[in-house]
Amino acid sequence: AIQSSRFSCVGFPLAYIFLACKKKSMALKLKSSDNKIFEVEELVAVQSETIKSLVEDGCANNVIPLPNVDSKTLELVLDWCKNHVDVKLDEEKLKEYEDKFIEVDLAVLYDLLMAANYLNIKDLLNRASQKVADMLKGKKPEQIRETFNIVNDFSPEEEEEIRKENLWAFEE
Amino acid sequence: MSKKESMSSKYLPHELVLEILTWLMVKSLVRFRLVSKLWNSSITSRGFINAHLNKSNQLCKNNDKSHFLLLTEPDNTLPNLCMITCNNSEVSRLEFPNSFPLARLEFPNSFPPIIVGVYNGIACLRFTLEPTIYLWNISIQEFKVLTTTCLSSYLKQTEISEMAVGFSYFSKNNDYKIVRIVYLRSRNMEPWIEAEIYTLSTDTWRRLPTESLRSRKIHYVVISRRDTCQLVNEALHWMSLVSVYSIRSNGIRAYIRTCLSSLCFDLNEERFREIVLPDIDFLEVGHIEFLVEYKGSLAVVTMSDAKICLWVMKVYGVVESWTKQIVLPKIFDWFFSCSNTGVFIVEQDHRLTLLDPETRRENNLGIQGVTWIVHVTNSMESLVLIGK
Repeated sequence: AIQSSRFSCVGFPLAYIFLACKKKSMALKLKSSDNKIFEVEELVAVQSETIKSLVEDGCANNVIPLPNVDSKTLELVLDWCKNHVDVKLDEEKLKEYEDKFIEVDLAVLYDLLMAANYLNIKDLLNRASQKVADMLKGKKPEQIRETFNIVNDFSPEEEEEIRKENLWAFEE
Repeated sequence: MSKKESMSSKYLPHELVLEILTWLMVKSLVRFRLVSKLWNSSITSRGFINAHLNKSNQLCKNNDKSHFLLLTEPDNTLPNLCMITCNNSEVSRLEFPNSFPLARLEFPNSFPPIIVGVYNGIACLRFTLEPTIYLWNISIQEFKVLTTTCLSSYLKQTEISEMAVGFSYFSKNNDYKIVRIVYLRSRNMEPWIEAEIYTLSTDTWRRLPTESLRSRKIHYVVISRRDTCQLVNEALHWMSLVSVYSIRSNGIRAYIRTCLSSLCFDLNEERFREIVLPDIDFLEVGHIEFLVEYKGSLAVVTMSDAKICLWVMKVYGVVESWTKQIVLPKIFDWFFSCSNTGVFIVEQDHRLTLLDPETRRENNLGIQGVTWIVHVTNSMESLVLIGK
C-alpha cells in the first residue's frame, strides 16, 4: 500500500479478532466528508486496513469520520467491500462483478483511487490503477498532460532528444 | 478528448500516478518520459524500475506462457534474432529485423553472437573469444557495451584457449552480475584460470580469487562449446572437464583420469567450487551432455545415438542425490534448452519442437533452421538500462 496504516496494531491477537468477528459481526458507523452516516458490518469495513487498525486499537466504538471520502465514493467502496468479504465463494462471479464495477469514467476512478489509497484497500487500489493504466496505454504524451493537467516543462530541444533516442516507442 | 476523460479539475498525488504507471507496458512508459521532467526522472529512477519489474513478474506468474530467444542461420527466412512466445495452443513471434537494433553496434564479424543468458528481458550477448560483452534490454531496445575488464593483460594475448561467461539476476539485491572465466595457456607454464565479476549497479569489474582452482593435482577446463551456464540455487554452473593427476615422490606429475564435472560459482559466497556430476560415460563416441536447470534443480541431459537420459540432482550439492529420472528413446535430433516447467526445447526433423519428457507430448512450433535458443524464465518486460 502506498500509504501505510497510521495506527499500529497494539498486541491484540489477530486470531482473536477474527473469531470475534465470525461469531457476531458488529456494525460500524462511518461518516463521509459530507456528513452522511453509513452503517456497515465490521467484516465488510475491516477490508480497509485503515479501519481495521482503528477497530484493533479499540477506536471504532463511536462514529468513524472519513474526512477524505465523500458519500458517493464511500457508497461505491462499501459495495466493493461487501462483495469481497469472502472472495473464495465464486471466482467467476466476482470477476464479473469487478469488471462491471470498474466500468466508470476517469473522474470516478480518480475518487476510487484516492479513497482506496486513504482507506488502504489493496485489491481496489490495484483494480482501479490497472483500469486507469488501460485507459492511458495508447495515449500520446500530449494527451497524458491534458488528462493529468500537467505542464510540459521540457524545452523543444530536450523533447526532441528523448524522442529521437526512442523513436520505436512513438511508432503506432 | 472528451471532458469526462480529464482530471484537470482534480489533482492526483504523484505517488498514485506512479502506482498506475507500474501497470503499463514499457513502450507506453518510454513514450510517457516526454510528459514532463518529473515523469521522465520518475520513470527512469531505480525505485520505479524495480517496482515495475516486480509488478510484471507477478503478472507473469499468472500466465503459463514461455518465452524463447532464438538465433537462426543468416540465410533463414526468419531474422537472425527472434523472440517466440507460446503456451500450449498459441505461438507468437516477435522478430528483430537484422537492420535494427543489432546493426547499430559495430559487432565483430563473428555473427551470430552467443546468448549467455536472459533475465527480466535483459539479454547478455558475446562473441567467441571476443572480450566485449553486450547487455541488451530487448523490450526498450537499449544496449550497454562492456568493453572494460580487469583481465585486459590476459585478454589481449593470444594465449586464451577457453573463455566462459555466466550471466545472472541476483534477486536479493535486484542486481545483475556477469562472471567471466578465462583459461590461459602459456609456453613453459602450467595452464591456469583467471576470473572476474561485473556488477551492473556499480558498473564495475572486479577480480575474483581463483586459487581454489589452481592445483597441480586437479585441472579445470570450462567447456565453452555451448556456453550454457546455468543459474541454480544462486550459483552459476558451467560444464567442465576435470583432469586429475597424482604427484609422485620425485615431484613428477602423473595423469590419472579426466571426467566431466560442473564448475560452480556461488554468488553469495563469491567462491568457486566443483559440483560432481553423475557417473556418465562421457567419452563414449556420439555421447553429448547438456547441463540444464530442470524444475529448479541442477540436471544433466545426455544424448546418445540410442537414447536420451535426464539426470537430476535431487538435493542441491549432494552428489549421492543424482538420480536418473527419465530415459527416452532417441526421439529428437538435437537438444537446445529446458523451460522452467520442465519442457524440453528440441529439434526434430529440422523443426523446433517442445517436448514434455514426462508425458512425451510434443508441440511442433513449425520453425526451421534454429542454431541457438535460450529459454527466458520470467518477464520479458523491464526498464533496466533505461537512460543508463
